[in-house]
Amino acid sequence: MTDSTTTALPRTLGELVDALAAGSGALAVYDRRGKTKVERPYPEVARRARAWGAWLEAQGVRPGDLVYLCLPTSHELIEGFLGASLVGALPCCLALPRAIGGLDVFRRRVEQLARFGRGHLVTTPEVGAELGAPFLAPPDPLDLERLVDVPRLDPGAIAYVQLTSGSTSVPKAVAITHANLAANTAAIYTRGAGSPAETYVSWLPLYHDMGLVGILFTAMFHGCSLALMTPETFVGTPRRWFEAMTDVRKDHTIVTSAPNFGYQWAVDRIPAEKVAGLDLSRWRVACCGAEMVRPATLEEFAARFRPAGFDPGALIPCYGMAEATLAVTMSPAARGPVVVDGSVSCGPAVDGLEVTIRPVDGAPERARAGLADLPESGPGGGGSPGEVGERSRRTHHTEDSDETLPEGTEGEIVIRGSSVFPGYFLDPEATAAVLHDGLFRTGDLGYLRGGELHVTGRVKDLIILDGANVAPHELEWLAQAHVDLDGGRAAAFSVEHRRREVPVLVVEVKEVPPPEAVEALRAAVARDVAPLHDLVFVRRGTVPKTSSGKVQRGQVRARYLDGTLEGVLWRWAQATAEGGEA
Amino acid sequence: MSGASDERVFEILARVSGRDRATIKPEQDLAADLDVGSAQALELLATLEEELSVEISEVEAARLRSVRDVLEFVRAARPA
Repeated sequence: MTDSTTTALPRTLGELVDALAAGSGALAVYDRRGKTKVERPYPEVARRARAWGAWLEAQGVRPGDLVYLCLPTSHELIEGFLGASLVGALPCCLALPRAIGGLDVFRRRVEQLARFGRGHLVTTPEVGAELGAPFLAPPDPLDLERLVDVPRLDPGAIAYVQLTSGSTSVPKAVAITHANLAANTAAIYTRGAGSPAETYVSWLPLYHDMGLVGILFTAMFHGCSLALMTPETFVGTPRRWFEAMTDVRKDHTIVTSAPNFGYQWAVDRIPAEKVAGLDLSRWRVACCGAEMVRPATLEEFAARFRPAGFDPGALIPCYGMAEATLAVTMSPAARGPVVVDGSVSCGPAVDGLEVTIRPVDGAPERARAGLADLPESGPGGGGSPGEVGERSRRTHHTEDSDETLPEGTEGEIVIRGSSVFPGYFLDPEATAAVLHDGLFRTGDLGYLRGGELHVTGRVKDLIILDGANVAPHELEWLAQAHVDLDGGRAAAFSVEHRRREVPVLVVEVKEVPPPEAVEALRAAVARDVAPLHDLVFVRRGTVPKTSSGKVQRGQVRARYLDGTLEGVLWRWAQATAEGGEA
Repeated sequence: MSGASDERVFEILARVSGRDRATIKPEQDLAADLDVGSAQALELLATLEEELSVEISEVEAARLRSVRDVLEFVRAARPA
């Protein structure tokens, strides 16, 4: 502000490359084993990005073309991404075949990309050869003498395209503008109370928004350093993540992000005796988002790693999605998780975004009628089994979409602001379904308490029992608490039985749990939610999931109703569906 | 000839899948029979690479479907 040495933050990926060229941070990438790393100072990264731009141009890449980068986490992936944007193309990271369920799924995914117009696939010679379609292998060696000039890019233009794996097989392509990216990375940095003397240590894939925006670009836009490894390295040997943190230069503090899965995996795979020798005392920010944040996971994680100097205050539960560029809400830095009634606060909206809770439209007629029959709030809603009326916040169902709901009332999370995407790429229909006048309907359910967001589930997964709503994860977490899932997943949903919605739980296990555990689970569900209509144990790996590992509850429900659930080990259908357990 | 490496593969499979070594057979499918999910699959690959000093490429990894596939891959990958 005061003089030219007070550098303004980049507003575009072009300005980012200029900032890197003058910056002091570095990008380190570990090898696949997570043992050795190659570090490049940012000026070198900037130079190589310009060389990539020249190379892509020479391969026929033109402004407006899509450049699909299907590479492991590497310098090439990041330099190629920046290089594509320097020639006015739209970079888009693709998951490798291994991460999305094999070569057949990958081939289909690549075929689907044709609908986005002229595109170029950059991938390894091995994957490309397997694909049987045209591809570009990364230049080796990269010609560092031929560099593109850094163009002046329009902040309002699309910077890149982010694929999201919805519950359907066809991914949506989220268009993100330079301005979106600049706004959201600044908001993340500010809420996390960031400083340039930090290193972001991450195993998150860069084809995922949390890795791309929350780690890579938040660090780069602010001159922070990066130490990256592949997801395979972390999942295979979780301790490598912590070893990389221990390895960070001593004058830097550490920032990370991971979904709940990552924290749970670390707790499950790193026993207390293996924590010795790690130094996690400089770990300042540990964001947790991208899927429902489970309070018990954070507690177990904090307890396990406290002996290595981990500060539980570092944990920052957050909520976000690709359509918001990434972050929507974040818990404040240095506070630690705040849990109210078993639900983790994901914090207030980040700078530049506004969060409101709106009535859910299109809710089943019966649910609305059921609600009308019951008192608006208060315990023991008429006829509800157990403590449902007390535990559950009522969901408001109405057609009036302009209405916002008061604090404490659950509804659909709706956002607007500077990092909300302009639309799905070349898909006005999908865009119109969720984006009106800058308001984005997230499809997620939640409520505000003290201005902080609590996320309770997906609108379409909502289980409505006697007019009161139950989030499926409440049942799924009970399964996790009472039987040994050993990495398996659970799916809760409702089915209609004698004109009422009743809950069903399908649980992946290695083997059928002992009768005492089954009985304890049934009793807990009956006590906390409502008597289960049915409980099914299936073999691990048989519940349908999205490419990012989220359980597809709708699919599980459809298979349950069709009688086509796979790997069924044990099934218990309640003999007397109503009243028997109450 | 490859008895030693086979035995190591069985041990690793038993550990990652949480099953008894004696119940693991070459004809079993990793996902369907041993319930090796996506996270366990990554764990399996990393463990094989780490403990048997083999390198498994992206496409090779995508081709490993059964216990036999893993046994054969490790045998072929081991230096003679």
